[in-house]
Amino acid sequence: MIAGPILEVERVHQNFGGLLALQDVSLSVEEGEILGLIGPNGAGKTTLFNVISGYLRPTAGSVRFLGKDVTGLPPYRLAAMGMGRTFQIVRPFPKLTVLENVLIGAFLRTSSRGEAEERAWEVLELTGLVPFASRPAAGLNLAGRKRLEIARALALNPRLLLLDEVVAGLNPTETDATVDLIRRIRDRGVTVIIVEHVMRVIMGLSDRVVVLNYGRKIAEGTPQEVASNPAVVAAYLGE
Amino acid sequence: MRDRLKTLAWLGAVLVAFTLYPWAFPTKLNLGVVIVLFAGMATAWDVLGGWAGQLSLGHAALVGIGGYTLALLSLRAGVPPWWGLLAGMALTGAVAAVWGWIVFRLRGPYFVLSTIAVAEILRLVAINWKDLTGGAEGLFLRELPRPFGLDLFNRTVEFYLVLAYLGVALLVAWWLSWSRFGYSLQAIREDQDSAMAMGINPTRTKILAFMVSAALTAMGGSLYAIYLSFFEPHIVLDIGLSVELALIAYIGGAGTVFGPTIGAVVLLAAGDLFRNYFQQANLLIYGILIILVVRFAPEGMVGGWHALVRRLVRPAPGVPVEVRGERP
Amino acid sequence: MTTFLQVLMTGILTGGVYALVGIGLSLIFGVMRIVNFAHGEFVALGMYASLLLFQSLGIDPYLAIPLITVGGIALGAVVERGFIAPIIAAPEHVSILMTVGVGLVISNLLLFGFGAHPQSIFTWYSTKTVRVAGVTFSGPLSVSFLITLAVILGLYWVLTRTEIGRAMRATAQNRDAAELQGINTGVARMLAFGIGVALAAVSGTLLLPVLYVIPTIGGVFTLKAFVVTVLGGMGNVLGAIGGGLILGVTESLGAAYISSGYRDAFGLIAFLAVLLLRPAGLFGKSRV
Repeated sequence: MIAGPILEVERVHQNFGGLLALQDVSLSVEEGEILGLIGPNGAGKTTLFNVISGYLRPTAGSVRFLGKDVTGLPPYRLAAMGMGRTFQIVRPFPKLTVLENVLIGAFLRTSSRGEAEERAWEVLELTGLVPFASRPAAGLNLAGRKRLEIARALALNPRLLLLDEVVAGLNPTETDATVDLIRRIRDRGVTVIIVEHVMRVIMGLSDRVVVLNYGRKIAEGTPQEVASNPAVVAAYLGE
Repeated sequence: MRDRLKTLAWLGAVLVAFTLYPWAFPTKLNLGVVIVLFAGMATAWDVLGGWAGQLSLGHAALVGIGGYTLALLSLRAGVPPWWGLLAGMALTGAVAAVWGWIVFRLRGPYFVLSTIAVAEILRLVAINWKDLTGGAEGLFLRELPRPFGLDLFNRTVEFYLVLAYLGVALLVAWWLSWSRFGYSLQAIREDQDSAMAMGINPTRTKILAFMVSAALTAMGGSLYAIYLSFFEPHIVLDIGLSVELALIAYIGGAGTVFGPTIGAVVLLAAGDLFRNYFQQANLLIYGILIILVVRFAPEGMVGGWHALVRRLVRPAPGVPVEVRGERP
Repeated sequence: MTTFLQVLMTGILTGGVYALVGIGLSLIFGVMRIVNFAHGEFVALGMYASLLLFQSLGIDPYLAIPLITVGGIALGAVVERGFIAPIIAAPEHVSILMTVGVGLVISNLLLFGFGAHPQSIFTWYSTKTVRVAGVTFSGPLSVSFLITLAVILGLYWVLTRTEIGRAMRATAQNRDAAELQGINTGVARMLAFGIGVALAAVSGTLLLPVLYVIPTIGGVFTLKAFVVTVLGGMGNVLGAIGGGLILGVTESLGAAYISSGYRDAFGLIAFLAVLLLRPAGLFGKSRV
């Protein structure tokens, strides 16, 4: 446990040559909570993820992780510090098997093949991917690949996990399984920030919700508070 | 663990099979040396090209540095070839570190072009810096010391030397197939951004891969110098050699342990076969084969073989596929 | 001063032809995102085709240009359909290897057909020179330069004023968007490759009166074409002109004042410098 929030985003601006994707966005995440990040399409959610996880350097503002300033640090440094993420368009390593995909994440924490394999199998069990261990990642269906995205990030032993639309495109059974998995992940002490469009998932899972619209934060609070916030309703209706 | 040892066993079998070559084909010893040597150098190229996915068309420069270092140290300073070989490996490792640091910020075709440019510049330096390299006339390795009484210019001795080299190269490739480093190379090859999310530093890893690939290539370059005993920039620093190594690895199966070796055996033996009809037949064959491989069998001969095996071994649909590599 | 002007002018004239060699590569990359590693081989093809026409039918290279152009477009279209289109969706290194393979096949077929010995032609104007203000211009090189200008202007006209030119530019900008607008990007790509090959072949024809040709000369031209396109910006067709001129002048000055042995190296060093410092090229962003 650390003193203070595990992640602090302070007044982040992201300007893409004239297009202001993020404007003065601040939020803070407490360790152990599940924070939902919602907003209409184009609101800047994935951009914010990219800034937090090191793929983008913000035009202004800062990001603090585990109390340290990590603004502009590359993704691999953040991964080593304990930040894992999934990508909205899933990108497993296609020619490698499911086991190998997860193994690569496990190798971050140990250089021993034996130990890394142990950890990889643990993660495969947790995520229900054991039957597919020898399958090339490209051969899985969408649900499998989304599950693999999560598994790979878990293998890093993260303290903070950024999940980007991990249930989009899944059927209700698959969605429920994923929600259950996310709960189990949180129960193991991992903090989760989840971006999602499927309202029932995000409202059901999140302890708190942050709403973005046109790159600005327009609301923050418990799911109930946010759902009844007129600005939020207007943002979604107007989209 | 089982897979790892199985591959190692095959490795041993391949090497043992090759040891019989001089006894089986005593009149084709030159060809044998070249096949084994190029198998080793293609495997070395593959560390960067197939495992890490960075297509270099400038590896001839590394062959050349390896060869010239051994030759120059031997001719000008009387340094025995085994130290010359190690010096060549160290030098190319250093060159690769600098070269990689410069070019690995570039992605895609720009990287490939930069490898060609750097190699070409090195070739021009070799031609023009006559005092150092003997210029376009090249160098003649007139004599070498005799370790344990062995004549290093004897083709049979050379064959076993390059076979040892191939063994080293194959062991490196085998190591890549299961180690953390090998996996980080593959991650970068498959998806660099995704690899970064896994904690892998792409530039640093690529530079390391290049250094390993370079030193291993240079080792072959030194042995090539001994085999040729007379070599000039046109032979060891030519872009044609770079392309040849890349194609051998790719046609055989890039990113696999045995692919480059298979490629070398098939291509160089075929080239020798057709040499009677058409002098430059081997290059034409390379061209046709790479087109066919790229179009119909991108995994190379190794991949094509695996696909064939998979299709023959596939159980009836509906039956779960057997899980390999089970939980210990 | 005259010597400097001389060196400069030779560089500019050569640069003009380099521009023609490179402009086709730039067009192909702009429209198709393919780096054509066989580009120089098409230059060599143009040289040998003109050689054949001259030796067997007595057709002067300059007069053969229209024929070479048509032949180049046809050949390029066939190569594109047969070898490039099927792999258009594959990762980059695949097209690199494919075009390397095509290049190897072409150069070795040329070797097989024409032999390895250097060949050249000798016309009534091969050694003619023009003297202006104390500077001597090589006749053939000057004519080649002028024809190059005409060809490039013609290309510019095609790209900006014709339907197919607009189709190619749209495809270069954004293939999917172009498809949505009803543009047949397959045809656009095929023609872009055809025109690119034709440009390469024509530059070969223009070089025949001034150079010896051997089957392996293609590699040299491929490298020159790369330098030109990188200097000018990959995909930037007008930039290739600047790129060619810079290459020509750099080589000429470098060879005259620093070292003639390292002539080719100067271009390569400029090439690396631009790749590292300004990868988009010296003349701005990529556009056709």
